[in-house]
Amino acid sequence: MIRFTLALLILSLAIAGPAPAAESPSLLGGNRALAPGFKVKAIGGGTVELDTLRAHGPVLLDFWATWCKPCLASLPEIEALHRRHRARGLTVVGVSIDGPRNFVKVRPFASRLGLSYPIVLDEDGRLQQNYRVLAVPTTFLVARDGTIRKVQQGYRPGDTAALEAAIDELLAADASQPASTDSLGAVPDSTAGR
Amino acid sequence: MIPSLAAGVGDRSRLRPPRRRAGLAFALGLAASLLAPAGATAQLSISNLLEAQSGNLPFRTPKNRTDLYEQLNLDLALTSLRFGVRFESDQNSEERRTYRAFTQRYAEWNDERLRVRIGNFYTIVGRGLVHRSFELPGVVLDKDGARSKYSPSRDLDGVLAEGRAGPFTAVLFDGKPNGGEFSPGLAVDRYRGHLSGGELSASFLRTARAGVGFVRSTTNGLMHQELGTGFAGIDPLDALGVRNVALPLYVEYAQIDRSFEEWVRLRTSDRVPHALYASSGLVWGRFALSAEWKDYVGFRLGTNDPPSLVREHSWTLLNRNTHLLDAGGIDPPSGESGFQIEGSLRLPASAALVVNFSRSDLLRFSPGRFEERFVELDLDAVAGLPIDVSTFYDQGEDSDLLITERDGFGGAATVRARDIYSATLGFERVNATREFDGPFHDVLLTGTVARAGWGSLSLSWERSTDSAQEEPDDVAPGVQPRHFVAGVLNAQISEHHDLTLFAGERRGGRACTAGTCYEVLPFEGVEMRLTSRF
Repeated sequence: MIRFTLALLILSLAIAGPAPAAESPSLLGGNRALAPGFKVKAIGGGTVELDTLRAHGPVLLDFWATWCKPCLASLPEIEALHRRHRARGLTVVGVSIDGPRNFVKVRPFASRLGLSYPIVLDEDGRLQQNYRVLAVPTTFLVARDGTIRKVQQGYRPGDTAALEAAIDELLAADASQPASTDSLGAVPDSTAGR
Repeated sequence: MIPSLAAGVGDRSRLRPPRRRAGLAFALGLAASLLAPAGATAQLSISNLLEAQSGNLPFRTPKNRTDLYEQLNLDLALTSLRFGVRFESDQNSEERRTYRAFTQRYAEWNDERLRVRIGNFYTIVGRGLVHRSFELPGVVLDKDGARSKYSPSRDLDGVLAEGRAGPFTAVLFDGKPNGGEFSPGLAVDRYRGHLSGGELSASFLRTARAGVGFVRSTTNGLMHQELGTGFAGIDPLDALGVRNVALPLYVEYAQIDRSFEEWVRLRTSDRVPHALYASSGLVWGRFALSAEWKDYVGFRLGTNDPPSLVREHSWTLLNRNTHLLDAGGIDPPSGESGFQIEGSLRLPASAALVVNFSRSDLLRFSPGRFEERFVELDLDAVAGLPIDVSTFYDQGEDSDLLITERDGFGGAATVRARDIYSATLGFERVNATREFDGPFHDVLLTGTVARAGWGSLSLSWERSTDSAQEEPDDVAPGVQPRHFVAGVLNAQISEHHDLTLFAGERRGGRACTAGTCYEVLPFEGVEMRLTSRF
């Protein structure tokens, strides 16, 4: 078994080597894995669909929960990213992985932290499973072509600086390309009551 | 009775043969992806969790045991098709209850209107009163007396179909439920009984939704149960076009083995197994409120997950003292009824106040009560300095834990430096009195230093005078305090790998994650956890 595990580790570290030069997604995506699509309802009303959102620019998908202590610190920084970059085309979507025990607290929690970007409930755990989220917070930066450009698991003060650098890079690349003609549906505000 | 808990590798043959074909099914899916027409999108995702331990359970034998747990998930997406398998393995130095097995596999077809999944799946009916299947990602459990590590998963093995047409959504499922209580290393069929059901719901007025659900459960082919539920949720202010105040309302009522005529009477007598859950909220400017009510009798089903109406704490000592919901048995009738109210207020200067009050009247052979009052104050950038402070005070009682009175307080302060460095100091204390045992207290002190992009190092010290933690061989009068000292190193070693190293002694007890509580075994030694994603 130890040999099997070592072989797996070596294989995984080998795969995690330098990112492929090609920008297109490969079968084993590495740094260019395709983000699983989704279409879910936001807690403030309306529908959030990944394909529609990324037609407008990069999408930051942040998995969090009301019981997650590091999320208390990371969410205001995610909100700051939303405010700084939404005009340039960034869409932030918060995915609450709270179970039925905490569904009713999600909206007040978002209000308490002043979150103004759309929040969705992962009621049946499908998003968490499709994105293989093992801890919260976990944040995925999805480019317009649907590939995942950055994954950040956990939170330490200052971590969002690296995330912002990746966002800046994507937005700069998008600015040099013509805008998509796809229409962006009304992005619901999670905290209509604020 | 659980047969042959001490069974080893040789007992694997009793597990159902389809799991052995999971690898073959996935290989066929992979081959299909390679043969797919040019232009078709194929994507293979891999995630892996490796946990290695060397140490022992305090005061138990063996004194030096090594464990190696591995969970590998492979997912293959082909435009509208998805295939996946989960491989789990646990090996230990005692070579008991070891296993290597494909524990999950699925094939899924998904488009704009229809989703069909064959294999292992998760779903929820309403708010989980009659059914909720789920897993706790990242949680690895072990059990005293039958040690074999595994990931708790309460999934169904069968078929799930979801369809959408206009405002209507229909969900149908049929399968064998996994109680999530046993390791695949035990010679026990983890998928027992049969569950089939569905939900039909309609969405309207932007945020409103109403529906009905039905579940039929069969255990051992002998005992049948039929559960019916109806639910409705609406924000009347939103429906009236008010956008600056939110008032979400939700109510759900379920019964077991009753006719529709009886269901519509919404009876809440102790003689009628029922579950009533209602919630409301108010979000208005800087103020937010949530209120919930519950009345559960005879709804401890093992395949459902009604909201517990108990605050899920992120503070370590409070989390360990969480009240565990018991939705009750039928004969004799037992259950819980009560409420939870939580208010929060955003204060000027990035401060926030949270106040929570929850109470449950416990319908048991000997009636009891759980009650908790909690307040928390969070202050960010205190006095304009890069310092964040959080403090709490908690008071309560829980007759299920024989705790007649409990109060706790504590706080944490984080100092940031040069945008990437931070240091956090935390303190928690809980004083409690347990019936027949008398008063005891727990104290926890933690210190963490972190650097963004690299990781963090934490040290913790805990002292407990709880008699349940006392050394079994201690014959000295009174309770001798126990001390738990541990260090945790967390490092992001690459874009794909996160590493956590633990060394020291971990106190066992209740822990709650994502709304679900479980028991963590005490441990002393070293532990490494590596999570990977490609």
